[in-house]
Amino acid sequence: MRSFLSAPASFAVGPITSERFTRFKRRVQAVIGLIVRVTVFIAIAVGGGLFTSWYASTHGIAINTERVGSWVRWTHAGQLDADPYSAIRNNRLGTLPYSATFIARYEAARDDAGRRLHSSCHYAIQGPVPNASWWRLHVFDQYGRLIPNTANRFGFNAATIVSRADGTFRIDVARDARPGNWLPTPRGGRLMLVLEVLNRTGAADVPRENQRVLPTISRVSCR
Amino acid sequence: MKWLKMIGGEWKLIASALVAGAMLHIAATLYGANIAQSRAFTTLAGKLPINEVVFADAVTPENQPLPFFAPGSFYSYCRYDASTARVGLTAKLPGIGWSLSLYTRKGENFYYVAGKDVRETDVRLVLVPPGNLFVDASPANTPQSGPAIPRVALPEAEGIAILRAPIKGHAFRRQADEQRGAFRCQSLQ
Repeated sequence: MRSFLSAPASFAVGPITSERFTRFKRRVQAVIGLIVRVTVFIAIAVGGGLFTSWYASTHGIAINTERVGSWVRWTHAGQLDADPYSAIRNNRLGTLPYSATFIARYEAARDDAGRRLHSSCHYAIQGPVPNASWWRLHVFDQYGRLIPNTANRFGFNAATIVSRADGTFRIDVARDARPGNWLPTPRGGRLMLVLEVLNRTGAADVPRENQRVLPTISRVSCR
Repeated sequence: MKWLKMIGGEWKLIASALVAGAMLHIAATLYGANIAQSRAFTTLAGKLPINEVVFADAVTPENQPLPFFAPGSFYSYCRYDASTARVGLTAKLPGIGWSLSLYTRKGENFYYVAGKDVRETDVRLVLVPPGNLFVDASPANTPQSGPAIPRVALPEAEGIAILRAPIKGHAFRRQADEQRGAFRCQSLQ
């Protein structure tokens, strides 16, 4: 006979049976399983969704960029009907680019071997002078800022470049003075080269598949 | 194999996560592209009067208004606002490398004219606001007699016009600075 002072059956503490332990274990496993599922769901949905959006608007994908060697051209940049990734990129960079319809704008953040351009290295940019009515090439740091230098030189254009007799040119991007077309980069960290090309009809000079000849970017030395 | 078996057992979870990820990707991308305001416009517009030309000093590391603005040109700006009246733009493009480009608030370059190497290009434009027939038909906005001036239908009433004058070396700086003085921008009221 149970006394009225004894604990009710539901609160009775008895020995831990193997059945109760198994039930408890299953419950813990279910909770852990739920946490893992939710984590996986969030990782795939949020991580995947946002990361792919960020990647497409930062590095570009096949539908909105064209790659020639180490040069990258955002094919819809600055246009009214630009793809959303290009629009996000422009907003993020805070720049006002020419429409890709009018000016072919190529950017390079790496040399031809795929290494990031850096102000501690000396690079040679060589190739034929662009067959265009106007072109210009400038060097910036990775945020698009000009790199202060004593020569006050930040780029070359169709009027200021000194080309060779065979119609090619060479620009040396280096900390220390070089003969010829020297582009000083005394500091700046990671670099970005921007080449803008306009053809004679006033539209972007976008070469056809078999005519793409852009300057090569080779590393000469590093400190 | 164990992992594959586990993933296979959770295919519904993975599929729904992929669908959710795709929706989030689209939402984030469209938000970023359409809702966010152009930082470039905000930066420049804050310093510019409306429907007036500002001849900016040469771009230097200390005076670089926007990222990736090349110092090989002199820049002149007009922040136009055609919401109440059309805006007239005139400029001379003496040669190669000169250009006049119009941008929307979102930084889209919807109009561009470049200088030619054979002769000077005279640019005269009337900027007409989008879908505002009343403003367009107003007698006060009727252009003066003379040859028809090309009208540019603006995608948005507000934006920025930029005249770029190339600096073809130090010797040409003064000349380029003088030639860009023909750039005009005014409300046609």
